[in-house]
Amino acid sequence: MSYEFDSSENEVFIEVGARITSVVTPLGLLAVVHLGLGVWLIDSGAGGGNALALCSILLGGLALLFCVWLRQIAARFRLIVSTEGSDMEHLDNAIEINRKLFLSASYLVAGFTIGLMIMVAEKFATLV
Amino acid sequence: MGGTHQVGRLGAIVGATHDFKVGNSIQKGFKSFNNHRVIIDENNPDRSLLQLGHCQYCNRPAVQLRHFPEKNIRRYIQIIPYGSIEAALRAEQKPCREEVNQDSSSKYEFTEAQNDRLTHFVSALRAFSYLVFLGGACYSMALVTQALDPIAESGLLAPLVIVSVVASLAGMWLGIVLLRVAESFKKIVETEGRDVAHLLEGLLGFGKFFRLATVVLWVMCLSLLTVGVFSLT
Repeated sequence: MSYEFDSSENEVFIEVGARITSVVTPLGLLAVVHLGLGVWLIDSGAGGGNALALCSILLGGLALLFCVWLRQIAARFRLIVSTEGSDMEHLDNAIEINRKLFLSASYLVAGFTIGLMIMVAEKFATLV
Repeated sequence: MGGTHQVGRLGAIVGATHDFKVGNSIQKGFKSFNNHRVIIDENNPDRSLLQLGHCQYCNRPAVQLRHFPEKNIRRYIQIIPYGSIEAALRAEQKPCREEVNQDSSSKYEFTEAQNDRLTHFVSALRAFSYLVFLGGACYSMALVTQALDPIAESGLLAPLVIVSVVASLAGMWLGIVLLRVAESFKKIVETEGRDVAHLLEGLLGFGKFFRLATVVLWVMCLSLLTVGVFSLT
């Protein structure tokens, strides 16, 4: 059974799509900053060496990937509004991309959190 | 309200069942006329009857069900005068587009495959929200321990620490917002009859999440750039 979203429901998709698009700019900037930092660290050999540089490049790369996925989700939402007859198909695609995005982001945040926990534990040990 | 038939029609609108009490009180307390619209707010019912025009599609009174979360109005319903319904049925008029949409949106049920996809999506959302909450808490603690460390070589700039702590607290808030969004999407799978309404509720929460995420990401960008500029100078 196919379903066609009405005008008021389409407004919600337009609004959410616009908000998703607005995240892309700062996330893209963050990605570029991290990639630049990683390249600079490798070039200069400064800081904690290659490990930090690789972390920075990995973070930047993932942020870029998230930007691509977010743009795809926003595009699917636009398709829901602009096309007729395949709203549910576009919604399914958007949900699938969202799932990939949040799953990957979970791994990233998990790694970040574990790193922070180790750092905090070490700091506490030195302070005590 | 023009009679019990109209109040009875509220039951046909899925999700408006809890408004029966309000509907009945309006019926007792106010005299209404044809083509009047009743604003029903779940928490603070507006008991006045507002005169509004006809349906923009078929130019006759129609039932409308809309959500205005930002105005704190849950829904407003225009009750079709019983006489108009009878007349419309007699004339075998087609139902107006608003009615068709409302009827189909209340009846539309997501398929099993869609529910499976949504279940996986909700799991990913929940995992992410818990981790973001935990990560935000750890980041705040890391900043505080760094600021307290007397033997830190350069020490962090106080404004930067404050901004970063605020950003990490906002990150924790993001986790909470996302958990609520996950609950809305979960309801699509678990309940029946209001799938589209739950979907829209989830999407609106999602919009709120992305608005907050934009602010947090800008703060992170600025913090990072500030650190970069200070370390270079």
